[in-house]
Amino acid sequence: MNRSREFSAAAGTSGTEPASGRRLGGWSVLLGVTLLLSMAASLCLGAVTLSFEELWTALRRDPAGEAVQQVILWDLRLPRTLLAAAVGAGLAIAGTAFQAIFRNALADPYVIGASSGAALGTTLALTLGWSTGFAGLGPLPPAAFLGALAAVSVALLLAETGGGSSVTSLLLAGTALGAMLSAAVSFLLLWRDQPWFQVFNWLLGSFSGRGWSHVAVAWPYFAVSFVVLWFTARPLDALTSGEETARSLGLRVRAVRLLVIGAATLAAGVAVAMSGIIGFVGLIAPHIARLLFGAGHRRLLPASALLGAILLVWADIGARSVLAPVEVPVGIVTAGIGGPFFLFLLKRRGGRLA
Amino acid sequence: MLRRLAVLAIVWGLPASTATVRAAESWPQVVTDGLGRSVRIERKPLRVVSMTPANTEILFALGAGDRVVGVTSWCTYPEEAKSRPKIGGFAATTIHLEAVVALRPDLVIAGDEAQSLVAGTLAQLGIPVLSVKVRDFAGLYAVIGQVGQLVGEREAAETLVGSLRRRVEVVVARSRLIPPEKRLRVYWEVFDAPVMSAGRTSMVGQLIELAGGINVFADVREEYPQVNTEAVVARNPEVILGADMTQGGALTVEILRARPGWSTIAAVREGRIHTLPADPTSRPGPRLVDGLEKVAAALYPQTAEGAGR
Repeated sequence: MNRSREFSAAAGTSGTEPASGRRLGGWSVLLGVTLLLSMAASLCLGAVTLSFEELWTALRRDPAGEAVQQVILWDLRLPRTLLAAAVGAGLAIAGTAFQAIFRNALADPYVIGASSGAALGTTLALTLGWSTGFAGLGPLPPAAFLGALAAVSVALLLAETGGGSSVTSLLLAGTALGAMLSAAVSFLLLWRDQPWFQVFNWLLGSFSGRGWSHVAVAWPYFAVSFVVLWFTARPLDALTSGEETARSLGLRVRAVRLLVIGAATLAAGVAVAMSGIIGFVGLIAPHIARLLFGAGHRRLLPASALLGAILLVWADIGARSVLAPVEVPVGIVTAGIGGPFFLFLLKRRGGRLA
Repeated sequence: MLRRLAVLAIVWGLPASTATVRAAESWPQVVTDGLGRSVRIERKPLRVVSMTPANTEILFALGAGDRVVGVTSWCTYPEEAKSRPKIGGFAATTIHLEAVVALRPDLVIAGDEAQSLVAGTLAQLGIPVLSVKVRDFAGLYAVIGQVGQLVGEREAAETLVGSLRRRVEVVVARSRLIPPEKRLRVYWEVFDAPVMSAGRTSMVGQLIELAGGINVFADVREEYPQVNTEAVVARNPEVILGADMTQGGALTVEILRARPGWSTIAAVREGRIHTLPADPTSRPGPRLVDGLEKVAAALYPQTAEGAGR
């Protein structure tokens, strides 16, 4: 009971009673518009800057415009922006779900080790040369999913049996797990003679060189994950207020938890398979969403997804603009923003951690 | 700025220190090495350990190969070098210090800052260590001179530097004749995932410029930056070069055309993609001049052939 109160306090409200639908409507329109504007900015900015006019000309494939701008826009920037938005949304819904399941406001795919698990799964698939995909979608997403699932299961077991403060034990377990798994990834890549900069690129996340094929692979997985989580939104609300409450409401707690963990892990795993380990988006987006909309998951999930997409689109703009034409791994940007945010949350809750 | 000063220090400082010692075979010899450490050799070294492939090539080119008693596992040239005992890899972390000490060397020739910890430890054990740092051709000549001085092959070093210098001058003289509008824009791919190229200060960047090409990433200060693929497309190189032994994917027209957006790049459209031997274009040793000649021949085949090579 103590745990659930702790989480609800961080969540702001108890989260079972929705606020007015109108409030959601207004905010979601605002978020949607912000996302569209962010994506437009992402299409304009980068190694080559396009004005809005040039963007419009290139988007219409107007023959009067510069051919190079069309190529950059359609073949490089548009898929990259869409992928950044999709991965951001995927990490955010995964974070939202993990925070509910672990009843821990500091849980996110990166913190609990899911991202590192996915990275290990992907690296194993790469180094062992697995080529048989699942349903023609390539071997990496399933491998990432399995790796992430293994890591989440371990984190869950540790958090449940660890006793003591749930926040501390989960964070410690997740940190140790993440460090171990990242070390394993580095070892595998170095063992197979992959140079250090490739390892580096993997562990810090990047959208460099991603194209339409990545977008096509990623979206269906994220869509499945989102739909599943959307339909478990009400049970998630109940779970957030504690397992006893949920059980008293007649919920099949075990089944719901498995379903939610599966869907969240899928989103986190596919995100890593597409772009490497990108931290903190899954932490920040749900928090801001909760501040804006309260803790009801019907609103929290889509709002988190939109916010995560906005955040990662901007992080990627930063990654390819600050040192242009040099690329910075996008994980450096998200850690630069997310790290302080995480520490701030930790400090605010600090009294209860000791 | 600091780096530029360091380069100047190497280019001007080393020949000056070489000149301080007059007689070719007088001992002891004292020089200041690439890391600013003073190196003193009491008598002609008979057991030399090389800690980089380029140093190994320099030693063999100076005729001191028979005194080389230890090399790295990457030292593959000349053929004879492969038979020498190995002291580990090229990366500082893979060098076995104990193996080096066990070879009882009276001179160790190390690489630049990357190996400075290892070099420092060896020096503390009383083993003379020369750390070399080559950032350009002038630096290469200086280092060859310094190694020649320390191993007692000073004349060989002067002859070698003289011939290298002349060959470089031939390439530079030819490229100077290329009018600005005919200079080709060159993109050098160092690695494919992530896409990495060579900046202005890198050895490869200098090879391109000396051969009369225009490095499309000459504006980047970093030596081997990860670059944005949009920038490659926008800068539209007319020639794409790369080493034949990269650990990444092969550099072929088919592979490059399949990358999103790359089919519009002039070099890809016209199939002007060349792979060059990796070692001469990456090792700062005597064969770097071979690398320069190969880059020039790849960029301007008519000029190179017309001059009767």
